[in-house]
Amino acid sequence: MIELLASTLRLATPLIFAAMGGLFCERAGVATICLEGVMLTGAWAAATATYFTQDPYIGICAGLVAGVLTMWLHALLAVQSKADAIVSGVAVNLFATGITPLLNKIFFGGTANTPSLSLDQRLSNVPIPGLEQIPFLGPLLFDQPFLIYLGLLTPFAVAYVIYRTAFGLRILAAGDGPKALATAGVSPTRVRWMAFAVGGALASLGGTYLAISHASQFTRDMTAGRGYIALTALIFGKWKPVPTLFACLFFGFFDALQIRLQSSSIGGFSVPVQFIQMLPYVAALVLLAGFIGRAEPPLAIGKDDR
Amino acid sequence: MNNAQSAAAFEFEGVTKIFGSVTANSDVSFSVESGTIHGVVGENGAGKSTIMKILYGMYHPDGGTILVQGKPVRFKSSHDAISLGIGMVHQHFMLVPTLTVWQNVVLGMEPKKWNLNRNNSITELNNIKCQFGFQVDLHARISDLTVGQQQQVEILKLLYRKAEILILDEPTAVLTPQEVDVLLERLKNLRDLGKTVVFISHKLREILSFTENVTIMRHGKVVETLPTSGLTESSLAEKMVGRKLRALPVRKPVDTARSPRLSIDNLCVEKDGQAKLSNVSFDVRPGEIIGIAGVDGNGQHELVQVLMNVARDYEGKVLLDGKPLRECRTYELKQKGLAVVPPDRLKEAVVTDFCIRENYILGHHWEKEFVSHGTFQMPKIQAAVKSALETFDVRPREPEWPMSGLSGGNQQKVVLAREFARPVELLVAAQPTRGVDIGAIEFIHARFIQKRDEGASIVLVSTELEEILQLSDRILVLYEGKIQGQCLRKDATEEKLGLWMTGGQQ
Ligand SMILES: Nc1ncnc2c1ncn2[C@@H]1O[C@H](COP(=O)(O)OP(=O)(O)O)[C@@H](O)[C@H]1O
Ligand SMILES: [Mg+2]
Repeated sequence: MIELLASTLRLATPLIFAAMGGLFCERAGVATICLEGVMLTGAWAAATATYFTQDPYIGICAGLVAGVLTMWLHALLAVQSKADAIVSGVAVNLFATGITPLLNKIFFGGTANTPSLSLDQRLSNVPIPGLEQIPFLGPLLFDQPFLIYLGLLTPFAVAYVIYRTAFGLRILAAGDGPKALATAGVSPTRVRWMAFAVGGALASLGGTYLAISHASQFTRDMTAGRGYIALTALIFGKWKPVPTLFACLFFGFFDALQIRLQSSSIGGFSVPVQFIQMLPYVAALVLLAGFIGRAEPPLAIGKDDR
Repeated sequence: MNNAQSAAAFEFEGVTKIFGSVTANSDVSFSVESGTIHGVVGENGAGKSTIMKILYGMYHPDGGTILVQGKPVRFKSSHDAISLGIGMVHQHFMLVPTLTVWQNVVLGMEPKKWNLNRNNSITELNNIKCQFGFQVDLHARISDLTVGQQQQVEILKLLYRKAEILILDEPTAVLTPQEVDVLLERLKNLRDLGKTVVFISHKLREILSFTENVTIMRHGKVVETLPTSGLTESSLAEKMVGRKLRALPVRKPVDTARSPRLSIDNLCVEKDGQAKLSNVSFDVRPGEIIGIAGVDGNGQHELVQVLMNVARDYEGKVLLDGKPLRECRTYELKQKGLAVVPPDRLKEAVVTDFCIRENYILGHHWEKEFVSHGTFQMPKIQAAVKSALETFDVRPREPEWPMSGLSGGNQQKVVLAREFARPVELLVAAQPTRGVDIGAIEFIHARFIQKRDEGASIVLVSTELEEILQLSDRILVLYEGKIQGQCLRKDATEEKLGLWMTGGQQ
């Protein structure tokens, strides 16, 4: 059971980072379906930089830079040139699926993956003094790589920034009333570029975590749809940081459950693995259809007078 | 008047602004004395908003100079104008609906970068509120406020930014008569505290009642700038329109012997558990105009929805020629002579992305006169549209012109042209002259009287008392979904209707 919780945390972390990144961009009024692509470039850059420098923290920085640049590509198309944000998002995702194997081939000679990192090159576990002493629970929940703790804290920091700072207020205004923001003498475009920088950085951490903490290398298309799940979590959370955190944990839980069930059989009858893998998505559908009220996206999303 | 007072707050010298093929302002020159209320009047499209947006730094002039406090200025953006103490309340409010009042006010000039919360902005805002006599809850969400309160927030925004020159673009267009009085008092108060107020309007009575000077604009040019005292409503209107206004035609008396065409009996509408209309009953005879007056939001919307046959979930009877309205399909009704002028023109009456021609046939696009063998008969349609544009004096007379490129008055004329293209039995018109200039109002009113004299039954829903008093044969006042009072036009006075509109009894 505790193993399941720990696994939930591990699987939810990339979703949390990506969803928080998406939150910044979408609250600023631009649909952002390119979280997947941002995570992917972040993951590749982090894995590669870590491999060459032997230092996972430099890897994180490389991931941040790659994430911000990828998100800014979306900004260039959707914010600066006012292209349709969905089309731009798809373009960025396709770009990321193409550029990562290409760079990989240039750097390492193959398109499939970066060389494996040794255990001490990966992000090491940081036990929390005191708490990790708790029998059973401690080692599993409080002896984790620091990105996991950071992931749990990020939504609260995001809530503070969004609701309690001048920058956050301007982001909310860019999303719900860009014209009002412009008449107040602030350029919504500038606010969006800045929101995208923060958003790209956060989302990249999701990819970085996958490459150098969860796994020990970048593999092609390793994000496997997590960017889209994060987006769904954002909608479940109604674009609010803390509810979104819970939505991410929910998806993380079903993902963990799904992995657990794969190796078990029910009454001697083994369920085809594909069915079990459907679990998180079925849960999402049921939740979306039945339990979550109407979710109102930020008002400027999808409007062409951005 | 001493020297300090007569100094110009700002001045335009030969300012010109061109949008593509439209010259919105041409060689505009006038100056505004500081510490006064200065009116700017002109029909829709005269260029009033444009010249003021230039002063506010939103548009860059294509020629001419602007002087603020005697110094020539060049604004890169509104930011520069704001820092010189210029503030503007736009015709369409510029508020973020999901944010609270204080958030909207401080937006763009937040008192702190971090740890921004109500407490550190509220003291200052409360001071401003007290100083200028505002009543608005600083923690309320904008979307929960009435239009009048939202306007207070807009003015609060300017005061928070220490604006000395306040520009208000058609501030009364959206207000109830009571709210207008409050606003005018407030503006006088601001003037007495030394602020300069620029008041754009096409409601002449307001301009006459409280401005010191007025600039009259027509077709992008300044006709004249002169002191308001000594002007009358009709002299101002003539300068503004450029010709004498016609009086409404004399009309036939209502034939009270005829049986009603539309009859409404105990109509009740409920929405989310709230009664929106309760026990509303009235009849409309052929050749009669029933005016429904009332402050916005007292059930007019629901009544219009029922009469347009859009809302069918109600209790009570609504009979058209003895037949229940909701059992009819809307297109049958249209063929039988139902014409509608919905209150929200852009949402309910036209498709702004379509051209005039497409909007003109909208709703009748399947009729034999326009279609044969499943395809549009373009030559016929073109001819019909051309002649309609001619009769209804729509400018420009271009069937292919996009609807969004027309002024409000011309858009409304296209709607009328469409609705009046077939014989009219029942006309349901809500706010038919909202955002429409004097010339077009005159035209629309004359058409209504003409249709009435031809025997149409007309239900006119309007928040403009003047319009109701001018057109109606009988007047009903809606208050909180009930008919608070009714009378014939000859017995109606503004005082009496005003009393009913606010829930008073005779
Ligand atoms: N942003 C714009 N782009 C193109 N044309 C415009 C724009 N703003 C105003 N116009 C045109 O300029 C003219 C003057 O408009 P406006 O200043 O809004 O008039 P008013 O406020 O007096 O009703 C109108 O013909 C209008 O269509
Ligand atoms: Mg205007």
